[in-house]
Amino acid sequence: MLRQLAYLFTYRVDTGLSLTTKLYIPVTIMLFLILAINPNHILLASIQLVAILAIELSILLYIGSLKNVASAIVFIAIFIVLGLITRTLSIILGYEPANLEDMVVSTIRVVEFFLAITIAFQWIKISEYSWFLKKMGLTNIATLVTITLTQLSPILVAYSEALTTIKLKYGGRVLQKAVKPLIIYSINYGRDVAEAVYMYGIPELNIQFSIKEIDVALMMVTTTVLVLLGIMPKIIVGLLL
Amino acid sequence: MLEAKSLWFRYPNSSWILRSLDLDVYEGETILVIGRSGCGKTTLIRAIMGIGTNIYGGEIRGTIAIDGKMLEDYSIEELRKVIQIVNQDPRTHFIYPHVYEDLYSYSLQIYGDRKKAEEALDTVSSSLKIKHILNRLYFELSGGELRRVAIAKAMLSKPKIIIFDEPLMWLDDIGVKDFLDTLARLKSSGITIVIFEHRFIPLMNFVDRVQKFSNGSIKEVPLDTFRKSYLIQSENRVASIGRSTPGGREVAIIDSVWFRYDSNTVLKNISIRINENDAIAIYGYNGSGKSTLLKVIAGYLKPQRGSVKRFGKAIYIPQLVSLFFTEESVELELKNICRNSKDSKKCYSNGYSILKKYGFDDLMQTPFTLSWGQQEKLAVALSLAAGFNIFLLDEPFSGLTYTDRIALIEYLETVPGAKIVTISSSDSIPLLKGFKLYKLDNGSLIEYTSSSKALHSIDLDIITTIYSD
Repeated sequence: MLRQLAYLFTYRVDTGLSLTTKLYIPVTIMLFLILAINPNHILLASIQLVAILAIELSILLYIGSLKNVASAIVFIAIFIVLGLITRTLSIILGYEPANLEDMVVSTIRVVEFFLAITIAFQWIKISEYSWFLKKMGLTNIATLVTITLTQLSPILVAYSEALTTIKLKYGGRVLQKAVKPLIIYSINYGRDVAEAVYMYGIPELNIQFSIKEIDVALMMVTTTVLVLLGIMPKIIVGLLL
Repeated sequence: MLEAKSLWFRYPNSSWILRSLDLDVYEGETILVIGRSGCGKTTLIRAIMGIGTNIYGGEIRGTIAIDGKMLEDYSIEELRKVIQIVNQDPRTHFIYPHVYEDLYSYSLQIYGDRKKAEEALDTVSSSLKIKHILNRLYFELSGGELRRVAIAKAMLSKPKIIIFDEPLMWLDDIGVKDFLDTLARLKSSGITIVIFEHRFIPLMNFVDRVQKFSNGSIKEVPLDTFRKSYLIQSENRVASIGRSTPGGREVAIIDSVWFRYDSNTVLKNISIRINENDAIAIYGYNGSGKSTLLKVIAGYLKPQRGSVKRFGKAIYIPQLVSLFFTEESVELELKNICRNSKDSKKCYSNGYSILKKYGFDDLMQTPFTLSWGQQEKLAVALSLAAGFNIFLLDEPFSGLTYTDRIALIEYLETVPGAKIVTISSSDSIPLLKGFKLYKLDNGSLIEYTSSSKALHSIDLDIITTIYSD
């Protein structure tokens, strides 16, 4: 499971889109989830959330794979199950449980927010984060972030291996014991990476920040859909009532 | 092409590691530098590349000339175009996770022009046959593929010399063959190659000269001496590997075990019975499921089907053996591992005797600075002290010279309990005297008699002579 975390920061498909677009779409979705959802109106919120979920899953499918979508759905399911357990416990312990509909809507809203963050991570390349940080004058941090994110996978594999070993060695009760060997491993590994950086440098990529027609079209479509999602459900609900 | 004269090097606050070392490498030749673990091979590479002084702040004396120019007269950008290094762990070469992005950005840095960068990358990726993996993430590649991509990166600047630091480390037989094919291509293109590797047998037919590193300096060893140590034997002599003769009670029964990660079935209907003093070797390529099988036997992973019954305590010693240790001294290791015992005082006093018996007299030494082989031995001794009697060693030979491998095998022979080791390369097989050999292939475990294959045999006496000072 630890190894899967490494995939969070990696992309598979180079969509050729501008960084502007790749930032704009997840950020507007996040803003929509914060500002436009009305949790007091369950039907309205449900329509909006289902539409947002469809958009997010479509993007994940486009930039990743079916596995990404499946993981996202599992992610949602875990949150909902946790919510249900909490609710059941509240009932058992005699507390006033949260309204079931409210709980589901709020959970999905939070999950969709995380999915938007995931989209940003998977869509935006590490080189683009690096470029962005350098433009902000954070050159050293850009280098650190780039190498850390790139080298995350081997480090996580070592972490997983250390936890297995310590669990068997000490019977699973003292997992904090893994910290020391992991620190030593990370230092040694980091030293090897530093040597490689010395030899190869930190090459920069030309980042596509200027927007093309496809970028304009995508941003307009996203904006239109989100604006409609903000207005249309109210009209539909108004008509129904 | 590469000349080091009276070279001395030491890290800050340490003694001299290189001592008046002389090295001459001529244009177009391939030389192999062998030496025991920790003898200073990597330090020599660091000295040659300027890493020793620029990153580690070490002190250097003597001269290094590369392609007729002194090392100190090169800028790092100029140096990259003349000499390149491929590290022991090629994963460390990646600045970006996507293979194409990483190689292209480096190419662009060298050539400063999109078209030239693309052309260089195209040429190198065609020549090293990596075009089909350019669109992948580096941590998804096999060991052999990863090594080829790292070589491709080194080749982008069209260097005249390439240095390989333990290029066969972690590689299985497929990866080794892959590397040797690449090496042959590099040789035919006239590149000067220096290989630092203790696992020298697969390289014997590819190198022009062999140098032995010991006591801080280098001396030439006749190539014939090495070739004599390594014979291809016919199937009739394979029996010399030896087969363990199990006896005693069973300590583990693995019955019809199936295991899968997501949709990938790694173990298919595995059955094996392990007796209390068995010595078992499981041979399989990287990714064949060897580590998974050990973790299933240890009880860390639960099989989806089948059953695992243990009648003893199993311990898993990982590939990166240093991850086994958690304390700053051997004594604290013993105290901590004994805490789980029913009688921790007895465990500690027994453990103290066991450690002494196996040569760990200095209990205050830190396990982290021991050599790879010593760490393997210490991990086994500590486990023995804590009452473990099923020892699962994941690729214990990867970082060891042939003589150290033999020493570890002889050590394991003296340890009571069932020993199961995994190996990914066949050059360790002739050393596994007394081990029962299995092959894990395509998820199935079969007894590996190699009746249809010729196996390698190693003349241990010659190897011991080579390493003796």
